[in-house]
Amino acid sequence: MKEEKLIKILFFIATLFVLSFCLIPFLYMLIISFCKSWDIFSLKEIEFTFSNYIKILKDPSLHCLDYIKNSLIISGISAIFSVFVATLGAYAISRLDFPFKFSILLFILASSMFPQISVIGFLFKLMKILNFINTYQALILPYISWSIPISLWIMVSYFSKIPKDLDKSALVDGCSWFQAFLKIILPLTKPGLVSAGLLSFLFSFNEFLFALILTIDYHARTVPVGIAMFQGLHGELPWGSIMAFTALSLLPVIIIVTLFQKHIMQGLTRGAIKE
Amino acid sequence: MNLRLINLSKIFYSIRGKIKAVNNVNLEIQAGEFFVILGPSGCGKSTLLNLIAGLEKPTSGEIYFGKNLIASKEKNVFIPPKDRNIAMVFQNYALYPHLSVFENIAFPLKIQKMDKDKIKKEVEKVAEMLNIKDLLTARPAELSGGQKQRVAIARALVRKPSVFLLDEPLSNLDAQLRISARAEIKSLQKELGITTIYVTHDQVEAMSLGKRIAVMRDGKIEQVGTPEELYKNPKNIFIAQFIGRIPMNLFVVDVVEDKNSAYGLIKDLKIKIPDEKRHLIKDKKIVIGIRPEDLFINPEKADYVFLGETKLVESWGREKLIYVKFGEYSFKILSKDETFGKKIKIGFNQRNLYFFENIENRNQICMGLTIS
Repeated sequence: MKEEKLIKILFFIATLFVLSFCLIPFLYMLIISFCKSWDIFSLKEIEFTFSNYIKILKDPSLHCLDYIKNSLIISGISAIFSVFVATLGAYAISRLDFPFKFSILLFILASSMFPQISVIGFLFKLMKILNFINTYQALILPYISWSIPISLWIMVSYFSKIPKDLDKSALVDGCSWFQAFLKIILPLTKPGLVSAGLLSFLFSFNEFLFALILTIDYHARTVPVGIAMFQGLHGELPWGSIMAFTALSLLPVIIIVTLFQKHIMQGLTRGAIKE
Repeated sequence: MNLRLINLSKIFYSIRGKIKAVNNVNLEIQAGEFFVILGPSGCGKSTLLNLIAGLEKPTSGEIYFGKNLIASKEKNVFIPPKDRNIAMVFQNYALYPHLSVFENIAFPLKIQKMDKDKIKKEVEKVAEMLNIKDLLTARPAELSGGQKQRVAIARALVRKPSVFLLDEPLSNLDAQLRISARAEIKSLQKELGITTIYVTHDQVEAMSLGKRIAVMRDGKIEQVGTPEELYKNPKNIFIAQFIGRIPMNLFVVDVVEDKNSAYGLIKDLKIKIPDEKRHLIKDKKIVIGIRPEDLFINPEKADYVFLGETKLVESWGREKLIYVKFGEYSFKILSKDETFGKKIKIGFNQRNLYFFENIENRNQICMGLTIS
């Protein structure tokens, strides 16, 4: 009994520690974004205000909303495409018999482990030749290829969890291969689709290096670069504005994640077959 | 609709080499017949069923449904499963977990784009037939094993297939349910008269269901016949041991021959080998078989009698399975008689004996079944 209590207390303390470690920066960000002064330790000057938000939204030269719009479009398109391609590939890998299947999977995973910096030079040249610099496609294309491996691995693990007898059953019931995939297999992998989609979306939303090199101005620049560029514009560090912008750009992400995460539920395939 | 398989083969290639899952199979299945494919696991019976369903392409050979060529490698014909009008029930039921029972059963009709009212009528009809009308709104996860199996059968029957394929549909049910489900499947098939192919490894199931049975081993069909034929005239040692509730007693014995007749020796018992079986003698050896149910304790009259030693008794309720040692030979005896002691008098008759050719590496051939 005593031991159980102790374990509970230790568990609580550990949880509290990890949670605060993760969440305090967010709290700090929120507080600063609503304060007149960014110096949180000089308590005298703390005063609640919306001025930071109003300032960044009103000043057209800051292009805050443009950055958020760019980020959402680029990340959204990248995520959708990456999941689409990965899903088809993963279905083929999990269902078809061909040699060196596992080696191919490993190779795909390995290709995503190169540091981004190793390809950026080539990528810049390529985009320049294609005349893509400072356009959406300059970022969308590398983001898709960079997030496909992780999406593919997620989807392969989901597909391999679905018993092959379900495909067979659908085929016998009168489906073509594509119908069987669309009507039976795909609905069962919804949690996988959503988690793969969210992960690629977040990757693209957070990505900094490609966005820094391949974009020039607000036409294609994304939020992470936008935030970093705040400093250069005004010489000093406008912490209040930076934090307000960060908080603002987080808002759509939080909304998207909460909307979709309820689809990431386990046990959707329960009851299909007798294990 | 009748079904013909001609020289059908399926070879799988893997890292370990090629595996002949189905090896030159020739079969003809009559219209409306309940046909059972029986064999130990890994003998290729499920692959054969998949070939008929169109889930696998044959490596060589042809499949005919009635007069229509359905699959042939040589003639480059392959009708996909959706156009074969077959239905299949899988061992693990393979219900669609994201659909309700109603939607599961309706699925084959929906794919055919039947109109909604008609689908509803058909589904309700088949649900009534299988007694699952009150489950229509449930999800597969909420059903018990027996109910899932009924749903799977309902889904298969709803579109009136011309061939009904069942791949070990009962092996996931518990023993009691299995017996009642077996009877239900049989009467359902009789009522509907659909050509049915049923795959199982359980010989009791095969014997009780099949109008005819094909026994398969290592991708080959060993024997085709009615349950009685297989029981009374097994073609070889494998079938003799595979068919029957308790495997047959088999003995490799020495043969003594004189001018007119030949005898097999079980210790000092001289068993007469009928003239028409004498061609089975090889190197002065022959295999003699007798079923445990054909051995009697304390017989009043029997062609052969011997005195054995009781080693072990298993009580099966009404009957007992008695292990008896007679010299170096051990017999299994199934008997209702309980009047025996350490010494036991056993008799059997000439007409109940089976004779087979002695095969050198018989252990491998009998899949680990032992011959003493």
